[in-house]
Amino acid sequence: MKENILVTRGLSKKYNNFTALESADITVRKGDIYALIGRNGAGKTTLMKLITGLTAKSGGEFQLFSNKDSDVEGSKHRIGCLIENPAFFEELTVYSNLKYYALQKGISDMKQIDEALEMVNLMEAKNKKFRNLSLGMKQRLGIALAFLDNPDLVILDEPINGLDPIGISELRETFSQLNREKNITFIISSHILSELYLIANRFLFIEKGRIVREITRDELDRECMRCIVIKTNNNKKAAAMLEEILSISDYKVIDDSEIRIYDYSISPAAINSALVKNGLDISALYETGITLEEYFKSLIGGNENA
Amino acid sequence: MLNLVRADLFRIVRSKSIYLIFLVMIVMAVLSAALKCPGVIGKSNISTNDDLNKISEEIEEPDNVKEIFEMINNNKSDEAKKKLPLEVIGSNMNLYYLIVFIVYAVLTADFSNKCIKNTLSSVTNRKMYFVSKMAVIFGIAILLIFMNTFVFFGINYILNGTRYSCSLLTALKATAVQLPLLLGLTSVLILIVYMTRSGVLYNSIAIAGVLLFQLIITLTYEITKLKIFDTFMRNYEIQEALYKLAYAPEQKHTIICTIAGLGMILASSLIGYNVFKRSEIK
Repeated sequence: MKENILVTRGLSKKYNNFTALESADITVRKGDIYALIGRNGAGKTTLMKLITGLTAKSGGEFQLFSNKDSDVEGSKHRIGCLIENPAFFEELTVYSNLKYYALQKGISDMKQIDEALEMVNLMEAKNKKFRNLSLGMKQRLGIALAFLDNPDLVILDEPINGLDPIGISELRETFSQLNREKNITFIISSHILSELYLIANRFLFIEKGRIVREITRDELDRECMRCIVIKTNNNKKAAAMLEEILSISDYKVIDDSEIRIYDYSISPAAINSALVKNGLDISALYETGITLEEYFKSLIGGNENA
Repeated sequence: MLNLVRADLFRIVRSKSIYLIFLVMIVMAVLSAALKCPGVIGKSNISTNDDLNKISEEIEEPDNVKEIFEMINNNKSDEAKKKLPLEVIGSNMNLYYLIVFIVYAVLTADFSNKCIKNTLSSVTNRKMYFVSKMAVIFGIAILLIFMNTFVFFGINYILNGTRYSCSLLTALKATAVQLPLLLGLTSVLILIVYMTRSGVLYNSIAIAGVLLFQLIITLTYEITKLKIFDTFMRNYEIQEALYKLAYAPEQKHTIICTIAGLGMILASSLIGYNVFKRSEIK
């Protein structure tokens, strides 16, 4: 069993009458790349701010590295963060900005600064003042800061905002590599679902402060993948027939009336014929398959993009 | 906490503002020594006002400011001339405006650049942050206050010799008794930062607000001529209180000012920390 890095139970945040996060129960395990997916104002940043102590909770509790929320201060050095926009001192250079935080963290080996800058391809801008950086460079500096001091948990809020496609691809590779080689745990939010899909192994869908679904990558693949949907009046009998008559084991009973078959070795027509012959009423039989965006829309029940 | 202080000092020595603050302090010291009279920002110093009124009755058309100050100095006794450093230290309310910028450079910049979220999310807790910032601000403010005395003392000695100088120890004592009140003011500025969490609002309240307060209180005194205002203005209005502490110290006044300064530090710190503890970091 992997170590739990973050566990929240009933974690809530209210601003007067507005509920930004309602009773969130999540578990992030060591080595996870945990994706937060939701529309603007869904509660992703609020969740990140609660965990990092930038805002106070209204209810519930959480544990970070097995420390209770009232006692997480000792774990702060194990976290690297980029929450909302990257914030640095305008008049300082890239290097000086990172050195300022390195000194705060008590880092004695300043080579770590160069390593962090190399990781995000920012060495050439080392002596540039922060105010003179492009949006993408500022974003990369924010990510470099998050990786300073070899954190165990990296929390990144919209980390690829303002990056060009090559920069996004490079960062994706960096995140995956760090996760693979150093077992760094990531919590990442992004509007670009396809990017999250390429690196994350677990997904949390949030809408209007509520957790809609927490799902693993395998489960998500299964939910989104091409399949044959059968709607019958007797799912129990249908499932038994699929196994006994058609030898299909790769299927999932979704609810009382719906079964999804992921095994395409037998044609939909043959399945239909076998089930009808054995006295089952089929109300619908069709093929389906959805994109991550479509899946997200189906979860939140809206038509707007994430 | 030491790491936070080290980081702040690293950043401060790389910003132009800190050099500008000390440059202004040196210019003020040079001007005061050259004119043999302290400069005063904001509400006019009462004793200087009295001297000026007296002189303006004696001369019909003063050619320039230097002539006025020379006449003021010529009217002074030798003993009064030796008190010039104490007069300058008495006008240390001038340093308030420089301390406003120290607080801005060390603390307000964290809020206006939103850099505070980096520190609080992955370095330390709010309590440690609060204490370390206060330590850095107080440290630089104390350095500024004492450097002001040393710099003026040195320049005055070079330009005016011993005729216009008291002993360095007397000057340092006069500076030291002002510390609680000046640090009290500094802690109020820190409180304003935590209350507003905005550079613009901080500047408005810290600079314009104080000038407005001085204007209102002076006008009220001028219009009403109430004795209570007179007593307040001559003893406990901060600029006057600082002047008296340095130039004509009385034990009772010193004790009241020390208690008031320490009270301001304590109250501002308690309120400031409690506000900060509950505030949302954006």
